[in-house]
Amino acid sequence: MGNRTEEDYNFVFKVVLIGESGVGKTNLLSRFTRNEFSHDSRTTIGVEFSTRTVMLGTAAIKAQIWDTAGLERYRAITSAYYRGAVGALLVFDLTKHQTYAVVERWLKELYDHAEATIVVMLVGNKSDLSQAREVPTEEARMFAENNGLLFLETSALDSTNVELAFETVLKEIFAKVSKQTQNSTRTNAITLGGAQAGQEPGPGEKRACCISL
Amino acid sequence: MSGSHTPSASGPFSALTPSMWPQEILAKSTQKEESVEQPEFSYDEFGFRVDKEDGANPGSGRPSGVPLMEDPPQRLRWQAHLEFTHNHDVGDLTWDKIAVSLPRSEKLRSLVLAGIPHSMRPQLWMRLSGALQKKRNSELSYREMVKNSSNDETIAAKQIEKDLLRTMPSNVCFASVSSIGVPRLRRVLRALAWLYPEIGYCQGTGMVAACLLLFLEEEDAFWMMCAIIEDLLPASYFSTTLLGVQTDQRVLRHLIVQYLPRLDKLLQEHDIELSLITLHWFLTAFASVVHIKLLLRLWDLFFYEGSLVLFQTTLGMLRLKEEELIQSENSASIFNTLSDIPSQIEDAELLLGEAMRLAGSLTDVAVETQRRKHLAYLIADQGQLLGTSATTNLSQVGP
Repeated sequence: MGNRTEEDYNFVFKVVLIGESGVGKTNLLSRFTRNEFSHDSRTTIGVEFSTRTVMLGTAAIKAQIWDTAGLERYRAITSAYYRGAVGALLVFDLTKHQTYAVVERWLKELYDHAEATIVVMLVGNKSDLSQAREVPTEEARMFAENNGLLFLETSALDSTNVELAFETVLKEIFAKVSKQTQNSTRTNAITLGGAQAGQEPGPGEKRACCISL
Repeated sequence: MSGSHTPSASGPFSALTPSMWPQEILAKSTQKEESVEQPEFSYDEFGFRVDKEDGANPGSGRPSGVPLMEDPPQRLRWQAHLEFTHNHDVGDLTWDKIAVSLPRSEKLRSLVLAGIPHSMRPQLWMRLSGALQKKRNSELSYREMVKNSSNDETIAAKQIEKDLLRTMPSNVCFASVSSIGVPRLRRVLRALAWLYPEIGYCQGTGMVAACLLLFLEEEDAFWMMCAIIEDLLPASYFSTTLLGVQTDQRVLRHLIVQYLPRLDKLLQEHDIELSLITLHWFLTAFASVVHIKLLLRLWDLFFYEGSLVLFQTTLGMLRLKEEELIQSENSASIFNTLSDIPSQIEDAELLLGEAMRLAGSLTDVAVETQRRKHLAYLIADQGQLLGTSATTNLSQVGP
């Protein structure tokens, strides 16, 4: 997956990170968008947001990854968080069974607020700590299969599968969107918001006007 | 403190309350001449680690590398004011002779707005916020509450444990289990969860408490938290529904229509949900959001005037960056610019000046009126989400 620094992209995909407090959502985000990991990262309060532009074939995809606090009471504010999301990484900590036991609740939360077509990947994070594993790979894989979710185990610490996880989700979204745009000429304002192919908005110039609600 | 090392004037750790001084590190630094070893990290006067090449740590206290200094004339003005307002007229003025709460006046407000001398903050924050009054009037002592909550095996206690080291990891006082501030933070948060069961533990309060613990002794930090929860912020700010802080995001949105119409138009055009960004500014009263030196100035005013200051400050910040926002190319860059605003503002004078010019006339009454209205809308909205039975009851207060 190539990196592009310039603000030049064909699609914007909003992807949300969800899951219990402390499973490593923020480090997955920073590993993917900045290739950084922090052992002493702070509790996320409210919402954080990072982007990375990647190439899928000839299309430049700007991934907007949203990260939020995992504590229960923050779910009160989540409808705005989920709005417009086309992908989600539902993260649990494979060394803490409790974070896996509540995956179903997170899934319900997600489907209550997001579009039914959202692409969801179940992510078992902290695979570097396999000696402390509490959730068997096969169990999580079965759950994912039965619920129509993608599944991977990752380590934000040693980078294992982090790229692959985001890449897989983005590709899946891209495939869905491509099909959608072939079927209809109607462009979805939120899912496809952003610049059109080849368009380079200059400084001070009026922004791309395809965002309308 | 016995056999203790003292930080050098405006050197590392010098702005901390003395009981928080990291003795081990101070001891090492006094032996430095003899040892060839360089210390692992350097620290600023607030105890935040300073990376050599990067001063942009969001928690860091030194945005421009200038250490915190007290302005002698400002200190004199404060001293004069305190002497003038206190009724006894003999002997030296000491803190125990100064009233538990200070009479409110235009003069006091202008002093607070210009900034409290750092060495006076612990005493003045307690008096301005009403925390000292609470401490004196309480039937239960902090020690009893700590005792009552120390064996709790509640969900709150578990969540507190999880977050202790994730609250202020870049500060020497909270960086590891053996750091001096960690047991204090644990006790304060547990006691709060015990005292306010409807709140329990809310992520965000930890940030506020940790910042207070840098400057105040544990018991005073606890009573400051009580003043914030009970008096300075409206009800339900930290409760499980977060209704109070959510309401304030709606009030803020309304105030933007009124005070910053161009920004309002921009947010509408790009369908940007501002509350996703500002909710945690309000929830932490800017702790962990702005540089700590700026935070101290905002808190001086916040402890005197309460939540009004959160609106005025936010409006001031948005005003300072309004042009930049309007020039932004797309909704993603607007969103990012908005998120970055607090960490980019260093100059307290500039921010407070702008905030007061723009929204100095905003009153508590005006904010309260909006709060009542928006709380009703919010409850109505949530009733609709909860299902039909709730909707029929709540529709009467809906828009």
